[in-house]
Amino acid sequence: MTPSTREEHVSRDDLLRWLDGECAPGERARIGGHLERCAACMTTLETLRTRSERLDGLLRELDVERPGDHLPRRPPARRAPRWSAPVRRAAVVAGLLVGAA
Amino acid sequence: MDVERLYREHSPVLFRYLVRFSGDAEAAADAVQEAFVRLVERPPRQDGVRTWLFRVATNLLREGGRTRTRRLRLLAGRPLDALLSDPPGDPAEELDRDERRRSVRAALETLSPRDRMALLMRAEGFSHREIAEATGTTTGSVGTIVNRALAKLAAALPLDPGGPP
Repeated sequence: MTPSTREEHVSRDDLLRWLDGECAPGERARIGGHLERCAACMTTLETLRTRSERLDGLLRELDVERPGDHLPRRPPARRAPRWSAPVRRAAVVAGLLVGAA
Repeated sequence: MDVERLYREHSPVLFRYLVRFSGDAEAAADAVQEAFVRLVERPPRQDGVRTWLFRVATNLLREGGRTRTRRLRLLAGRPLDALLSDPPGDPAEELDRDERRRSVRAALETLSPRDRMALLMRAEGFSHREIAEATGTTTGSVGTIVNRALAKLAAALPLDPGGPP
């Protein structure tokens, strides 16, 4: 079935937003109503859906099977602050002076 | 901030995304680690932590890319995919898989870094607002970017209905 001649097709960008659940409720209902009447827009939507699903499958081919071989199990230790080395040296010197006194 | 919890929650997905983005597992692991160091040192004020981690880690990966490409080239005779490969199973199946990986990698490389980032973040379930925040664009243009990227990939990969899966 085709929409009335005055009703415009939904843009691909809006169909993608609809597919991703990004439309506000009113807009979602309007596009949903149009899709029920418009085979052309439904075909475009199916193309976008299939492209997304097939891409997900292909992306999984790139995944590393054992991420643990590369990624440590724990977060890195905090980097030592830049002032820590001079402060440590100063503390050692102060300790020596106190010890000598 | 419970960094251990955030690391457990986000590092596997962040690592997977970065490997998909770059094809370099070691560089991806380095970028994850450095992003978490920065999270502790300079936690984000406004972004959600997950979006912030993806943005910062992607930038780190891109900054370090030139050096790593040189390093990888020095590993003579080892194509990039070999560094990602798992131990071989059935040789014919492995060959097919290597071929598919190579095609997908090559197709992803034709996208601009921003478009690749948007597409891959969408595959991880980010909202258009989060993708816009991370890529420095507007929420309204994410649909356009993703559509363009999907169309470009569909010209090189079997993504369209009616074609081979």
